[in-house]
Formats: sequence, C-alpha cells, structure tokens
Amino acid sequence: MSAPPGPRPVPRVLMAKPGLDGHDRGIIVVARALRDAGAEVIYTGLRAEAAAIARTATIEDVDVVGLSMSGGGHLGLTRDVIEALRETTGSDDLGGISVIVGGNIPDRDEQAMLALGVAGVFGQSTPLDDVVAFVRRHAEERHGVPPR
Amino acid sequence: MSAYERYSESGFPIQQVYTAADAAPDRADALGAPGEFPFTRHVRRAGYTDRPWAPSLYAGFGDPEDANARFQHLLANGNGRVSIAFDLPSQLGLDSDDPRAQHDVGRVGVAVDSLADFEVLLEGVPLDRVPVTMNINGTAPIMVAMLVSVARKQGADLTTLRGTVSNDILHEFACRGLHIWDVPSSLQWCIETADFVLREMPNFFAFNIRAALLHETGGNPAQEIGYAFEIAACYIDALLERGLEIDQIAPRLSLFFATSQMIFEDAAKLRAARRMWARKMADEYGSTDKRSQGLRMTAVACAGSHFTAEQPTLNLARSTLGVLGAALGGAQTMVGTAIDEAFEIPTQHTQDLALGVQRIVAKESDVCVSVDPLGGSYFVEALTDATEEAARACGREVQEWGGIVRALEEQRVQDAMRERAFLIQQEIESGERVVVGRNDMAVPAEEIEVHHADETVLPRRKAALERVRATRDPDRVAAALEKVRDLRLGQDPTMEVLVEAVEAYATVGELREAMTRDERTAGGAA
Repeated sequence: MSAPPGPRPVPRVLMAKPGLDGHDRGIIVVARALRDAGAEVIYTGLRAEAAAIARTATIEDVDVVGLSMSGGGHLGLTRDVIEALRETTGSDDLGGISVIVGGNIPDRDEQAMLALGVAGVFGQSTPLDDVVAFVRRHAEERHGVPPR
Repeated sequence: MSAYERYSESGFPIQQVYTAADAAPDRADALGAPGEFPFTRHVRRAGYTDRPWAPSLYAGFGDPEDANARFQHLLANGNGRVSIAFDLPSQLGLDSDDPRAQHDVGRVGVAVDSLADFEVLLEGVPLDRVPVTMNINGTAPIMVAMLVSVARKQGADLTTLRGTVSNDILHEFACRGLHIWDVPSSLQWCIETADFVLREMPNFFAFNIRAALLHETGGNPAQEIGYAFEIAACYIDALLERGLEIDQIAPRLSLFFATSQMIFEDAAKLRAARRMWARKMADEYGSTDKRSQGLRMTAVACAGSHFTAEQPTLNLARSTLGVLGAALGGAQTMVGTAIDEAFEIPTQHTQDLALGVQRIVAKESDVCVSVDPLGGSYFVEALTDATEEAARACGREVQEWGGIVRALEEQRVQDAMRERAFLIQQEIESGERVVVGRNDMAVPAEEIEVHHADETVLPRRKAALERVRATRDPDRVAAALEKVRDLRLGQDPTMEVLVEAVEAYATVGELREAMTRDERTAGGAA
C-alpha cells in the first residue's frame, strides 16, 4: 500500500545574475511570480560570481538555481556555475539542484545549454506559470514527494 | 451600448472620440509655433521640412577593427554619425584580462582597454567632420579623455568636435546596473566630465539622458519624462553650483526617449516633454534662451523590449511604428532597433534593414512635408496635455521621496518601474496586451541569420593588452596614475590629468582603480 502524499514542500529558489550584464527586469518579474506562488526566493543581485552563487545555493539548500543572462556570455557563465555547484555539493547531480536559465539565449544555443546540464531554457516568451510549475515539480521530486 | 473603457500607457482614460469641445481654452498658447516657446510642436521652426531626423544607429563588438568596419559601413548607408557601443567590461572599467570580464569581453560592444584601441576604433573618422556619440556613463571620464587625445592627434580642434557623451550615471542606478561607485562618488565624476565638455567643447553634448531605459525597465511615458527630468535637474543643479550658467548647460543636454507601437501616445510624449522642459527652463531656471528651452531629443525607434523572438520579420512592422511615433513627435536623431533584438546584437544586414525603415518613413512618406502634422488633432493634443500633467505628478513624486538621489538609493524609482513590468507581463499572459505571434495569431517558426560572437576575441584582446603593457613607459604610466589618484575633483584640471594618463597608455582598469576614492564606495567592480 503506498504512503499518503506528503505535504508539498515550499520550493526554494536562488535567482542569480552572473556576469556583468545589469538588465534585471526579467529576473525581478520571475522572482516576483515565484514568490506570489509561495516559493522562497533568494536573489543574488548583479554581478554574482560563480563560486558565490554555488556557495549560497548549497548553504541555502535551494531546489532550483535560476540564471538570467543577456550579455551573450551565457554558455561560459553557465558552465562556471554548474562547475562550481559540482564542487560545493560534492556531487555530479549537484545535490539534486536543478539549474534553469533565461534571458537573451538564441535558439541555436539551446542544445548546448542542455548539454551543459541545464534543465530548461525559459526564454522571454515563457509564461510565468511554466517557470512556477517547473520549480514546484522539481522541489517535489527533490524532496521525494510523489507526483500528483 | 456599454461605456468605452480604455486607458493610456500612462494610466489616464482615453475617450472613444475627441472633439473640438475637448480642446483646452488656452490651446494656442500652450502649443506655440514650431521653434518658439514652449516648443510643443517642434524644436525647430522648419521641423523636418528642410531635413529629416538623423539616423544614429549604434554599433560595436569584438576588436576595435571590427567595430570600425561596421561604423564605416553604417556611415556609407546613411547613418548620420559614429555611435559607439562599448562592451560591458569597458563600461565598468575592467580590462579584458580581468577574470570578472572573461565572459563579457567584446560581446555587447567593442572592447576598449587603452588609447591604443580607441585609436583603431576611430581610424578614418575625421572628428572635425563626423559627429561621434559615446554611449558611456561610468567610464565616461576615461572615454572622453581618449576622444580628446585622438582629436588632438588628428589635429582637430576640440571646438570643432560634434557629438554626444551620454554621461548619464544616475540612470545606471535605475535601469542598467553598470555603475562603478556609489551615487555620490559617481555623480562627482559625471559632473567633472560634463564641466569639461561644456567649457572646452562648445559643439558637443555633455549629456544624453537615457529616459528610454526607464521605459525599458517598465516605466510608463509619464514616469519616463518625470523621472528623467529629475535626473536632468540633478545634473543641472550640480553644474550651476560649480559656477556655470543655465544657458551654458541646457543647450547641450539632450534626452533619449523610447518609442513603441503606440504612435499617438509616443508623439504626445515627445511633445509634452518639449513643452514641460521649456516651462521648466523658463520658470524654474529663469532661462530666456531658446537654445536652453528647446529640448533636443534622440529616440530609440522602436524600443527593443517590444520585439519578439517569434517570427522576427514581424519586428519590422514594430520598427516602422516606432519610427513613425518618433517622427510624429519630432525627435532629432533616431536609434533603430534591429529585428533580431531578442537573440543577439544586430548583424550588418539587420542594421541595414533598420536604416531602411527610417529612410522609407523619412523619404517615401509624407511625414516630413509639414511641421508637426498631428498638431491640432483633438486626440493628440488631449494626450499631450494629459501626459504632461501625469509627468509633472511623477516629478512631484520624486520630490516627495526626497529627491532623485535619495529615491534611487532607496529603490523607489526602481520599484515603481518593476511594479509595472510585472503588470505588463500579466497583461501579456492574459492576452489583454496583444503581442502578435505570441498571444495573437499562430506564427510559423522562423530562422534568421543571427550574429555569431567571435570566440577568438578574448585571447586577441588579452594579447593586445600584453603588448601595450610591454611597450609603454612604466615610469610614465606610474606617475600619470599617481596624479589621477591625487586629483581633487572640482579643483584640479581633471580631464588634462586623465588625458595624460591615457596617453601614457594606462589601461581602463588601472584608470578606474586610480579614480576610486574609497574602496567602500566601489560597488562590485573595484
């Protein structure tokens, strides 16, 4: 007999802007949507360094790290963050943390981003609900709550 | 029949029909003639009838040679000037070999590490004939010093230089995040730069205030005007305190507005801004000089936040609407956004398209055949009046927040714009705000050729930097940087000291460090 479904975990998200780009309209809007949906959101602010992002993500035991990048350097920046997460979590699966990205990501780079280990590319056309749904689903997976 | 309910972007109601009865009784005075106070209709008497606005697309990426080639191409295709986009490290005062810069070198603009790069950047651009716009704020003092040096090397008198340095550090705190020091320290360098330009370069604009970025951050037209005017007033007041007169300052301060698909509200925005500025100069600053009262404007037509990733070709229509709105509003110069805005910086082809749109509107349509063609329109005059009123309210709001500096430090301006950004997103997702191709009309996937960043730029820039460091005179650089460190702003000849340092081939990073007065005021980049 299966166990009754557990309480839905409060998703914990770290939103970060790595690199030098300072356009934060998108990340602020997404953070707001997540908060309105009941997630706990930490925002690093601008010019966040990969090591600091990874440290915060690990200490805060977040479920998802969201990177917003509009300066064109998204491949290198994402690679650095994922590498740093590997180090701080000490595991290849990043302690179950899922990394998602948004911003100005050309279609041609989507496959490369996924190959780096990104779980989803949520470009400018993405409905906010899609991001919320992803975060909720992943938080549940990470905390062993069976999908409903 | 249900009541018509529609609101402008600025939030005031729009009537289904406007008639002569809606005209304010003092309409004629409130309008004035083109080229006359309060300049509602146009800053010049002839408007566009003798010459259209000047396209001023900006460009820059990769090595200085790449940027220079694009400048030359754009000039040949009718762009009215060289307008430089610097990469993020250059805007923040980081050298290309700084580890913090590694993923941003040469991507959204050209990498400039030293005068050696700036010289290549402006190769074949005679500064006494071609206007140059430098879209630079935090490191404006450094880039102006480089411009001065190149001009002198060309044998061009500084008084013959035409162009603009945006030099709008306050909007970086509101919108772009590319500030280097805290607000007070940043302002000091900004004013120092403006002071030099105003005194030594009589044909060069010391400010191009980036109201358009307030729009891009989520601000509505009234906020765009209202907050931008408070920023302008902050700069003006600081320069007045340094002994300049209002009529030395205002004629060489321009504003940069956004236009969008809302052609009538945008035309009204520009008209309202001109009238409000003229009144501000006359009433608050006591200026009777038409050159101070008549506000010159750049417009970005159309602002990039409106361009979709879906079926990018459709963005040409958005471009056209933006150009139309800016033209009907009487802007002097226009930046043109390219259809691939959602993906990357523009290609030569997409910039050509943007230029083409401007030329079609300017030369194939009848927008330019008579000044302020919308003048007297019941709708547009009502919009103009209402926009001015709403913009004044935003200005008062900033005063209630304790002035623009305090308002920025306390995030009041930012929060107001972010609030609306979230609202806009909700309107798009509910379908209330139509975005063709996204929530209206299914469009096929469309592949377009998009700019490919040259991934070999970074090693080349690093190598160039090494060469500069290896070949310059180390004692000369050290002494020059020492003088920069010792500069007393407002007292010493700052620009001459900076010119000396750039001519010793000090790097942008070294200069920024030397300019940093207090580590505690350095926000992240130092």
